[in-house]
Amino acid sequence: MLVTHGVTLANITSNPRITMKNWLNLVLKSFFFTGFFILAGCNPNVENNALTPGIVYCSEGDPTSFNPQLTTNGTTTDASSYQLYNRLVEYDPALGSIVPALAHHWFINDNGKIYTFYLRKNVKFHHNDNFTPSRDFNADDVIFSLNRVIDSTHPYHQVSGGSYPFFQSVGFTDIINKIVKVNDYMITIHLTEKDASFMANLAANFAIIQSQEYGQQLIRQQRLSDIDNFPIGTGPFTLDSYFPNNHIRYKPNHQYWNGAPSIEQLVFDITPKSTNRIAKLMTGDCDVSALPQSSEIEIIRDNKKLELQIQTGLNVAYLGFNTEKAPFNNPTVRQALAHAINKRAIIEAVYYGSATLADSILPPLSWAYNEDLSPYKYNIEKAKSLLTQAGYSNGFSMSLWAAPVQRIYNPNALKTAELIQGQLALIGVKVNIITFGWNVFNEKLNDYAYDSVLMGWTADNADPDNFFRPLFSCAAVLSGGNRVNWCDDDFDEVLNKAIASTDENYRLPYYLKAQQTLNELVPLIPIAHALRFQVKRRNIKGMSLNPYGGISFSKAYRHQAKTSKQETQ
Amino acid sequence: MWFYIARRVNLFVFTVAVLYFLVFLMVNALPGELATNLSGIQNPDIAQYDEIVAQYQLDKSWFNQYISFIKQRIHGDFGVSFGNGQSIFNDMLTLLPATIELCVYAMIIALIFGLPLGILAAIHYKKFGDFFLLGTSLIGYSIPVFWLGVIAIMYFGLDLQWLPVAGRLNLLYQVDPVTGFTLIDIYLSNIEYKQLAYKDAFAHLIMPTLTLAVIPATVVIRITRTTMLEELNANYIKASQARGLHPITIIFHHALPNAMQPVLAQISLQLSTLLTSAMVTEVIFSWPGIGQWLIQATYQQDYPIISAGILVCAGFVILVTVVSDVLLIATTPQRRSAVYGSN
Repeated sequence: MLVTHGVTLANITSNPRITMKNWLNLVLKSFFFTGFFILAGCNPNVENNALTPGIVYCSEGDPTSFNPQLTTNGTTTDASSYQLYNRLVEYDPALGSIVPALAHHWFINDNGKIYTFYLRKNVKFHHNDNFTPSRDFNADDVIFSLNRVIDSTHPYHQVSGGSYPFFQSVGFTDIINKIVKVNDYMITIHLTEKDASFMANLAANFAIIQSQEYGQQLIRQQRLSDIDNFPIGTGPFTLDSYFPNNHIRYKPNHQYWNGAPSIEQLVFDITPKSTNRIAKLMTGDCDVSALPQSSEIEIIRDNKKLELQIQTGLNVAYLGFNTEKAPFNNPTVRQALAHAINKRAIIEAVYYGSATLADSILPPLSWAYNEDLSPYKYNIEKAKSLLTQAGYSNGFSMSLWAAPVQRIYNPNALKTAELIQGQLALIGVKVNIITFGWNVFNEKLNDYAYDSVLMGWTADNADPDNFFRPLFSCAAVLSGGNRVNWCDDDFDEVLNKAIASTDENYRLPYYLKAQQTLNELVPLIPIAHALRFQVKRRNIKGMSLNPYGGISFSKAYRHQAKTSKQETQ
Repeated sequence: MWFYIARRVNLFVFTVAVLYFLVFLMVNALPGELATNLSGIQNPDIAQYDEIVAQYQLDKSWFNQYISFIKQRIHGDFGVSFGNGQSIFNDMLTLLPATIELCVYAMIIALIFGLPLGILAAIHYKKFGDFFLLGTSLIGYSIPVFWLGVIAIMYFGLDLQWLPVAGRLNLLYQVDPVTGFTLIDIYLSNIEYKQLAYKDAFAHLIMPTLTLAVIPATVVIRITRTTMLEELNANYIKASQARGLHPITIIFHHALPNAMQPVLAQISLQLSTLLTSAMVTEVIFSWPGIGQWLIQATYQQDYPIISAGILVCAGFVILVTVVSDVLLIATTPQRRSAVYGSN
């Protein structure tokens, strides 16, 4: 059969030269047009966004809502706190101090218990399809927003879960006695006792101001949960649309009191995979990206179009012990383990060197850092002898909980857990690693069923108190921040004394003492303070890196000069 | 003809019934509460539970359950997702166009490249061109899609930075999904920079469609070559040669139309392969289609989505096969004698 084919073909192509030529001509033409068609789409210059002034941010996940009051989740804060809302006051990382925001001026009375805020006038709220504000921002909105957190009879207190983890951990409900409206543009907040961290807490990402008028309208419409899902704020952007698992679109608030943003839109491209975020960044689908992994830093540095921003993070990753459970109720056992963990190796293998070794819970950056602590040296023999001393010469087995997600303070908790598993095996301690998805993980932690846990903490504000009370106070055992299950009345007393004044010289000894206590009793082993990274394309300007988390696009813009030059070339 | 169509429709109904039965068995065998697995409502309260029991006739025999399962699904009630509690049917409506778009463009590209190359190979029978094309197509057919996709991303995306590597359109272009097909949606939208948006959409399309097109293109080359050879060997070709017709006329006017029939028949058979590769391609290129959605659901053990995905994808393949079969018969009178419908 094949032979006959050959014969036939020889017959039909009797004049092979001309036929072939024509035929090839046709094929080539068809290829040419196809190729042209494809190339028309494939312009190597992907940077054609220059004409659509907007910025795309590759974020790492879906926000749980658009109200940062309800969570300490960084993804939610990024998507809402600085984009949609304002706070009474802001923390300026460059100045290192509290600066005015919705309150243009404030005054603290002599005994430090009464705070008076003078509010900014002519601040407009956003409007959306359902709501058009009839009045400007005033004292009612401040009282509405703060009372939502502290007053359980507030109509919105139970809405969207009714849990305010940040405010619970800093004891907002107890510390605020009452909030009084003096006139439309002046309020006073009365505290039950002096609290040096109060202003810092008001400046935290979570203390945002919502619209009271919108709240009342939603009560009439019986759509209470809309207040957190279809947010109305005073911030630089308004929420345009949100497609879960896909993207969030913001439009600029042209009436923004602090100067409208210069970009025409802001899009959060929800890309959970870190490698995908980097790929999108390199090919121009994203302009700024969240949380690059330490292993990707080299690639980013090599790319001329990208710029890496680094900030020493006010965060800590730690190995926490459940101090209520044997054998970890014995400080000697905890000390033994502190000697057995090689932090240096963890920093090399997990952080690829992009972290500093942690001796104290406080990063060295903080003014309250205790330099005189005697760190636990990596020493297997010492660890073994301490274990023998505690009566565990044959070792024991323990569970170690680690979440399989990337956090600012720890890029890979599972890998860390595996390293710790290997290191502790050397002193005869058998480690079982237990892991769940992030949400389930947090939920299960509240039962305190673990022996030890790999967790961390990112500071919400500049005050050292933020590293102690949310993590070690008795109140935080209930609210869930105190993962070491450690309640010590004397220690609480020290922390309370430390916030009773605004004078750093007065407060310092208490924080030094607190760190000393923690170093001796080792409820947790601090491992590392991770550096904070943010990657952006070089032509995006006006983005600063906030050490306390929370990304802001209000001043961001696309630098046009360079791109237009490229186009004219 | 009508008899043939009736037979095909009959076959369609029975195949789908068997498909539904298999999925029904699967849902029954899944761990967890049956009511939850069918409806997707986790921890239903008593009222919801009663409603599910009534809908799916869970208090009746398995046959009633099977029939009401079919009824619910055919009416577009696929339950809700475990993950986000959204209606699966609505999710599917937004995702399916993305997958179809990808598959259609890949198929078009496969035809644009495959047909001429197949003819070229047939004409160059047993010469260098033929061997070259056969060899290349064999290589193309053997390359796994995921590998090709990743290599394309590495080279064209990350290394040269010519093409975007993920998604369908830069999100700065605010194009609302009306039909779900990006190009049509851009046309329907009222955005300012339509030209740029088209360009961007094309740039996003190139790598996934080309990656996906490789396997069908090689198949088209090989089939076209074989059928062209068969036709060129037929007596009527010899007769036209004897009459002195120009070789180009012979190839394009006589041989090619007849050779096309089996090629088109094969293409519909390629659809299931194409869909499978499309799912892999979607995951690699973060293409928001049904494949990525299904694979995500598999990770999260979202049983309602998995069963809905099987029903819809398999149903779609069966439907297209039957329809293309009928169309083929309608356009090819000589095949009508094959009433039992063997391909």
